[in-house]
Amino acid sequence: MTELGKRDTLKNVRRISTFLYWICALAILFEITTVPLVIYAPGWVEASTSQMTISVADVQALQGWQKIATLAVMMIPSFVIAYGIYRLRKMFGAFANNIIFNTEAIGHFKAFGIALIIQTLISPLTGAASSALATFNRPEGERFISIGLGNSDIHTLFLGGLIIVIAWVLGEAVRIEDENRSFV
Amino acid sequence: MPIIVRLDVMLATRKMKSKDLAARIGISEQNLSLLKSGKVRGVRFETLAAICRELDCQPGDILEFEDET
Repeated sequence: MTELGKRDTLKNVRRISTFLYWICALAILFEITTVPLVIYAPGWVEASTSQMTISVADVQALQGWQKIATLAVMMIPSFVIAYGIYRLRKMFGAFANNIIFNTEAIGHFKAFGIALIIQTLISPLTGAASSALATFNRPEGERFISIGLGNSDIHTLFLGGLIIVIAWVLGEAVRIEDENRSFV
Repeated sequence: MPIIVRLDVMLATRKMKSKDLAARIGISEQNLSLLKSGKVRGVRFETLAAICRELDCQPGDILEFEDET
């Protein structure tokens, strides 16, 4: 690749990274606000219940501590993935500032992969806990614990694992690059 | 590190400035300074050959092994 071509590629990397940096900010906002909006602003946000272990109407009908506790438990996976996206945002921020082949940036990528896996693994648990909390005050026989694990969860786990392996390989490449740089 | 870099001695013997040597062998002054102070992990054969060519010496004149034990 010519020097001019390399400069163009780097320019494009910086431009796309800046764009993705702001997309990540929107994704964090989306992750944190979606569940409270679904519950506290009925009709404003239409939710698909296919990913939820309890119906939106059931959660909306709850009162007091039960509603807050259910919401808090339902928010745990959102906070985990929001943190992952926050780290991904930091990685794009580093790319946008021309810090590309760097241990810290690779670390952010790895953290995103870990967050993805943790979020997928805890989702069924928080789903079960929120269904238990939501039906806690119901009469005997109507309380339930619902655990949901779908095909997409397996895909997400695979993707998370893939990201961690790629980050690990990139980390090794950075180490070799560092070693080469210390040779004159 | 038991390897001692004697580049400063060779430069003094040849009455050459670090700046000139760095320019002739195509490395930065900063890297040559790091090499002179032994603060590098290694020297490429390519760099060593260029230094030997410019200073008209052998690698053994620049690098020395000193057993620390």
